[in-house]
Amino acid sequence: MTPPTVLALNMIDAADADGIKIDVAGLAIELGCPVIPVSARTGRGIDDLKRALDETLDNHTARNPTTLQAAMACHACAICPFQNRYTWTEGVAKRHAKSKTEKPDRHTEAIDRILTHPVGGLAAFLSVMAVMFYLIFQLATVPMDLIDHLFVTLGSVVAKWIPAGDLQSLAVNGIIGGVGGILVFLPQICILFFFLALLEDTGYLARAAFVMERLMRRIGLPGKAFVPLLSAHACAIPAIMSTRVIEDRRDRFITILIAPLMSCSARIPVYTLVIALLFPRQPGLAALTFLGAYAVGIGMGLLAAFVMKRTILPGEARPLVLELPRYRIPGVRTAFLHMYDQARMFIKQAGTVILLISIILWALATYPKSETPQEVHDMRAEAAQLAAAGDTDGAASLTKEAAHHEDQYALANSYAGRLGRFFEPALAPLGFNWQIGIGIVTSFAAREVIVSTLAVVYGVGSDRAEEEPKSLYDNLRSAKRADGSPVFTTATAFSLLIFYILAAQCLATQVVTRKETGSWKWAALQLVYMNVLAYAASFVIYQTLRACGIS
Amino acid sequence: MIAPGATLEQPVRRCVSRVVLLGNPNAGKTSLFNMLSGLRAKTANFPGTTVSHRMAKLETAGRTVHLIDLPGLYSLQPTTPEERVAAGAFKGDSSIGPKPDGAILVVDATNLERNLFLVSQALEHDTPDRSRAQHD
Repeated sequence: MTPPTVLALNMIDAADADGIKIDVAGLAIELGCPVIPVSARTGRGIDDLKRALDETLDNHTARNPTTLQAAMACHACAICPFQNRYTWTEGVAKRHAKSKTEKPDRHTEAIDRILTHPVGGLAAFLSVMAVMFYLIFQLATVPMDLIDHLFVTLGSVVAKWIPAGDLQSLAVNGIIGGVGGILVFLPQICILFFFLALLEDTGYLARAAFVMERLMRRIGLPGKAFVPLLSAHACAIPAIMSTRVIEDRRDRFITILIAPLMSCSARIPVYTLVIALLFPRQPGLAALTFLGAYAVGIGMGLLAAFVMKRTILPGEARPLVLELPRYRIPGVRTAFLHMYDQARMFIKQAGTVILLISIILWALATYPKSETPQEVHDMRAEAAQLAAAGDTDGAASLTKEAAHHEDQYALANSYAGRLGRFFEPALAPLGFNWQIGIGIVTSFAAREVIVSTLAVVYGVGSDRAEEEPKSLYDNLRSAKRADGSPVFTTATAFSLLIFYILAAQCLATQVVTRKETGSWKWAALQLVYMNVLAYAASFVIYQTLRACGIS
Repeated sequence: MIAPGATLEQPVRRCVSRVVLLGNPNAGKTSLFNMLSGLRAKTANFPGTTVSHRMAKLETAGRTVHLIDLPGLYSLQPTTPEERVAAGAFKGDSSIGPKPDGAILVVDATNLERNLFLVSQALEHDTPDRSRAQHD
């Protein structure tokens, strides 16, 4: 039995503008239910709709659309129900909707000739995306700095409230640092989803999906996968959540599995660091390598999709049946609401999963506690002597150095340090030593953490690395292995870059994958295949470069 | 209806109704949902699925309405999980949720004829469809 129903005749403003006149009363009689013209964009008719809904629910009468049933009466053959329905819809539309112009969609068609053209459409799409990403990175810098500043300030305020010790370290470094490190990407995510919602509302996104479909189907991905893969360049978490638009389960799972291969914002600090080590004085080569890193991520993602389509998730990509809606003026309000929804989900993740992971990794890097080494005691004693002799600058710098030595020693002996050393034999063929190993372990909170970890293990305190990032590069460049050879050779740096492009390191992503696929199996597969891929690629790069005599 | 012995005072408890929003993709269903609900919407999954829907409480003159935004669909013969859930929620499949007390059919006024296909099915969905044949 059909529940009490009200028909909302939406976009009535657009129909008016097109010269379409709809006989609302006549339609209501024919359908046997109230028909309310509304515009969700302008708010017209919303109150009428609420009132009509109220009345219909009050009356609670079972509907009896006699005309409708009579129209559908023929059930003699299989095709009839559909045929009848189409005849009926045509008749009703003819009787109650009068349009002045023959072709109200003339402009839409003209624009579509360009925007869905195989070449022109692709060029238009790439331009739109380039502008969007430029704006995202431009507009996000100020709020990102603000959030970063906010968390640093919060950290120092909390540090004043809580006496120095484990609790302070947990609050400041573990919780505030960990959650702050992820929430910094919130502005990018908000701006991305705001733009995507605007583009969707204009009707352009359907055209873009249509254009991309031609290319993506060859790999086995549906056109609808492209928006999630695009958002993955900001952060894989909202991208995986937005794969819900893909109807087919296989297509959706493949998109989820490859989304983290796209270079997300958290990789940018790592790329920047490694590329600065590789090409300190060649900005052209540096920019090219940066672009190359993005291309490798996309290329590997498509390759992975290609392979999965032929192995674990076989099947043709579902052909895209897509309605190209009319172009419309986008509603800013709808875009804001969409953005608000996405932001809220992201913050929820940061407040739960990311918080938990931050605390676990903080514990790994903090415990077990080690004794302060004799060297540090000596340095402090010397600093005290200097201070007594009146050399306050010398004393201050020596104290700082002592604190740094202590941090370095503590990290090396922590569980994270032990893990780094435990994995060293496995990492050596990639050109990584155990110090880089620690960085990889701590990266499981968030990739960019390797930058601050390396700052601690290689000669600069983490505070100084932030004050003068130059000194971090200098220290890393001059860092030596036990045998006196430099740590960051060209081969090691390239190997590290490839590793960070491909490795699955953000555990929060796996948690979201598990939630969206409904099974830990897929999350585990994602973690394993990406890291195997990263290991293999780094191995090949490092060994090839070494074999070619580039070290 | 007023129960015997009840006073004629304004009842304190308001009637609560479940209302679903049903419509074609691109009919502006979500925009209408947003307009009706503002920032009060919550996102949740249908039980046992990864298909999500948005829900909001809405106060009208007479009652509290639990408004549910269903995934868009072209017909009540579902071909995808999303459509299956949307059709099931409208029909009141027990696996998906209680039967709705009412429905708002959202129709694109600029595209009336195409949108009426779903309308015709929704307004008489208890009529058995003899055909399970796919149509193009």
